[in-house]
Amino acid sequence: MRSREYEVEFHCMGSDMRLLVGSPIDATLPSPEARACVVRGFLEHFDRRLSRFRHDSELCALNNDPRRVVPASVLLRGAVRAAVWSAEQTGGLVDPTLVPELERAGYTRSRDGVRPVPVAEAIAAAPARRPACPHPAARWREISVDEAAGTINRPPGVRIDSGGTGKGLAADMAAELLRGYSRFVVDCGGDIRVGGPGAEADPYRIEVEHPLTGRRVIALRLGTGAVATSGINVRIWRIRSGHIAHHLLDPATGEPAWTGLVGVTAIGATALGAETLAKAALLSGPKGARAWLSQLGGVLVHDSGRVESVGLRELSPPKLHVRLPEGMAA
Amino acid sequence: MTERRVPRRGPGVLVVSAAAAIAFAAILAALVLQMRSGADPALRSSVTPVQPRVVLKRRIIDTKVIVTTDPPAVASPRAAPATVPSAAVSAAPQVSYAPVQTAPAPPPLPAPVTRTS
Repeated sequence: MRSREYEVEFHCMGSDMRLLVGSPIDATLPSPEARACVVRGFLEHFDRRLSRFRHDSELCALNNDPRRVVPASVLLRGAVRAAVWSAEQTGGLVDPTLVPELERAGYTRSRDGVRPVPVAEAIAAAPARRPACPHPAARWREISVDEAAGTINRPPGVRIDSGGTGKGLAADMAAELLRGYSRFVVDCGGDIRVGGPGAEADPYRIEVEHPLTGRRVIALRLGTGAVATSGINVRIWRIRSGHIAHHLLDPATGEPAWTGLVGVTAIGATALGAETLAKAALLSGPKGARAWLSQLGGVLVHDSGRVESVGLRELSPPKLHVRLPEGMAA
Repeated sequence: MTERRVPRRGPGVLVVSAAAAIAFAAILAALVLQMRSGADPALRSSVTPVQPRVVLKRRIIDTKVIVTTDPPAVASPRAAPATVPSAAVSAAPQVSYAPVQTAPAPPPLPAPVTRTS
C-alpha cells in the first residue's frame, strides 16, 4: 500500500509548483517535510538567479555584460549549458537567443497573472499554418561554457533566455535533491519529474490537460522519468496592431509560430528532455511532431481541438510480488 | 349673688388615648400602603428611577471544522474523446489485491497534471 506523501504547493517562476515527497529510504535523511522545504528554497533561488524578468538576476547581468567571457555561477552555467543542449538536440528549433524577437513580439515582462487572450480567437485570426524552422545564423552556436574556468563565452549582445528550458531543468535539479526518498513528484508548472523506487513499483498517474477545454483527456502512468507540456494558450497576448502574439517563436522569422498545434505533451527521461521534445514538436507542426514523439510518446492537440496520442505505451510496468500460500512448494 | 362656677371637664384619658392610637394606626396604614406601591416618601421625586439591570448573555461557540480531502474527480477513460486511443488511457494495469491493514487508507492525493504554463 502506498504510504501518504508530504505535499506542498506554491507559486514560483510564474507558475504553480507542487512537490510530493515520500518517506526517506535512509533513516539519516531528513523528513519529507524538511526536504520539501529545501527543494522549495532551491526553486525560489533558481527563479531569482535566472529570471529574464528580474533586473537583479544573474542572467540579466550576463545579458548586459559587455565582455565576451563572463564569470558565472554553477547554476547559471548549468542553465546555459541546458539551453545550448536543447538547441543542439533540436537543430536550433528551441533557440535560447531569441530575446530581441521575444521583446519585439511584446514579451518584455512576466505575464504571470495576466489573463491570456482566448486561444480560440487567436486560432481564428492566425495566418496560414506552417512548421517553424531554425534561424540560419544559429547564434546559439556561438555560446559555450567553460566549466574549468567557470565562465560563459558568447558574443557581447547575444542575450540568452532560459525560459524555454528553465522549468524542466529546475524539475530535474530538484529531483536530484530528492534522491533517497521512496517516491517523489516535482511539478514545475506542468513540467513534471517523478522518481523513487516506490514510484517504479507503483507508478504515478499523470493527467494531461487539454489546452482549449481544460479537461483531462489522457492519463499516463509514469514510474520514473518526466513529462512536459508546451502550448500557446497561456502566454498569449494582443499587440498594438491588433494581432495576437504568443511566446513560441519561429526562429527563422522571429514571429509567433502557427503550426497547426496548440499544445504538445512529451515524455522523456528527464524534464529538460521532455520540455525540449514538447517545444520542438509544437514548432514542427503535426507531421514533424509525430516524428519527435515517436520514440518516447506524447500527445498532440491540434488547433481544431483534436487530441492525438503518439507512440504511447506502458512506460513502467509495475513489479508484481507473488507470495505462494503455505504448503505450496515453490 | 355669686354663682358657683362649674368647672369644665375635658375628654377623658381613655378617649384621648384611643383617639391617638387610632390616628397613629391610620397614619401607619397609609404609609404602609404608600411603601407597597413603590412611592417611598424618603426618596425625592427628582431621583431617576433605577433602570432594570440588563443581563448580557454571551454565548461562546467553539467551532471545530473537520476537513477531509476527497479525491478529485478525474477524467475517466470513458470521458476521453473518441480520438484518444483506449490503450493510451487504460495503459495502467489493473492489479487487485487484498488489504493487509485494517486501518482505513488515507485518501489519495490528486494526480499530477501536465499543462501549459
